[in-house]
Amino acid sequence: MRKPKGAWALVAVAVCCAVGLTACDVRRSPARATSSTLPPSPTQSPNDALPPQLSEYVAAAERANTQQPETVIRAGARPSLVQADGRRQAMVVRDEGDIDLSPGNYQLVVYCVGAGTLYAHLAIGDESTIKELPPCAVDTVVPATVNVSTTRRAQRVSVILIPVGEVTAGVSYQVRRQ
Amino acid sequence: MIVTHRTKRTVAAAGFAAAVLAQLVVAEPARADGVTPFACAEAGTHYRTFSKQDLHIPLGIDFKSGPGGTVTASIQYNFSTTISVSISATVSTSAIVASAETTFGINASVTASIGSSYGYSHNITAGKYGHLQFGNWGWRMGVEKYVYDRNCRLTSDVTGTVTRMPSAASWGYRYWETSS
Repeated sequence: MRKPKGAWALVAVAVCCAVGLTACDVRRSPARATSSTLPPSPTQSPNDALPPQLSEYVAAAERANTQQPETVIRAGARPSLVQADGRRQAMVVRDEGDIDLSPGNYQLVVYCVGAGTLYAHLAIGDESTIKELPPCAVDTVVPATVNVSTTRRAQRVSVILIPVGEVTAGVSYQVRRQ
Repeated sequence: MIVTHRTKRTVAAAGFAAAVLAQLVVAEPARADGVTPFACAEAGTHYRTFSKQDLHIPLGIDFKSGPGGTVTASIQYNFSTTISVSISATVSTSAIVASAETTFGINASVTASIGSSYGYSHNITAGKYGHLQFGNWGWRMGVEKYVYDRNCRLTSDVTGTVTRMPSAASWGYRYWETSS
């Protein structure tokens, strides 16, 4: 007779989560504050409606993410929260590309405006780094970075931004070749 | 007749067991249809999911540009995608999602929707055409539906494919290049 495998799966997931959290690089990146006109602090909404200041956070994150000569990918700002089926839902950003990349140093620069923390993952070919970014702020745009170096040509680039708990923020990013 | 001490104990134990059995019978009387309840704990329909693979579920426009230069995707609105199953049986999509979530530890959904995409630009390799497609990062996987009757007999076992299972929260772009 078949045995339910759900319990084993849950254990495996718990272990993976624990390993993943332990493996995260929690060192803070050097950050440069950018002066800007920014929206007020978030307030907790008693229902599942999106916070009204979220769109302002998104606009602020978009303004901060300016194209540079070394920019390879530029992703426009988006909210960390969306409304799906009438309820609040965290959004995981995941963008991937099949592209031939030369060896070198690549940097993911994340612009976050609002409240909360993100994990950022950058993969170039077989090389990857995941890192807990500095907390997002409402009064400054803090560019947080994740670096990956590759000594071989790569055929794939992947960026994943994961909200830690409930994050009320606008997030944009770009990938630069240094 | 000589009754030994040991025999007395055996008789006493048998009497106790009979009393317990009587209690159980009283507590769980046979039903009118003559079927003993709880005969098979596994009775019912089960789903097993296996061989999960990542899948980008494309939604909206395929933005194409080139050769070389930059391809840029503009914002589009109101996307929705629903689970799709290829199997020769009626299935509960909610149960399949629940099975996949417990088996793989994923956050899946029968239907996922989002209000808008976002702008995105990507450099294109010289001489190539670049494509950008927004979508949901879901999964493809195998699924098995099997049914046990109340006597624990396997009465149905069908295998198929979940061709599209959306994630509840993971959205983004996929970029690729072509020669023409």
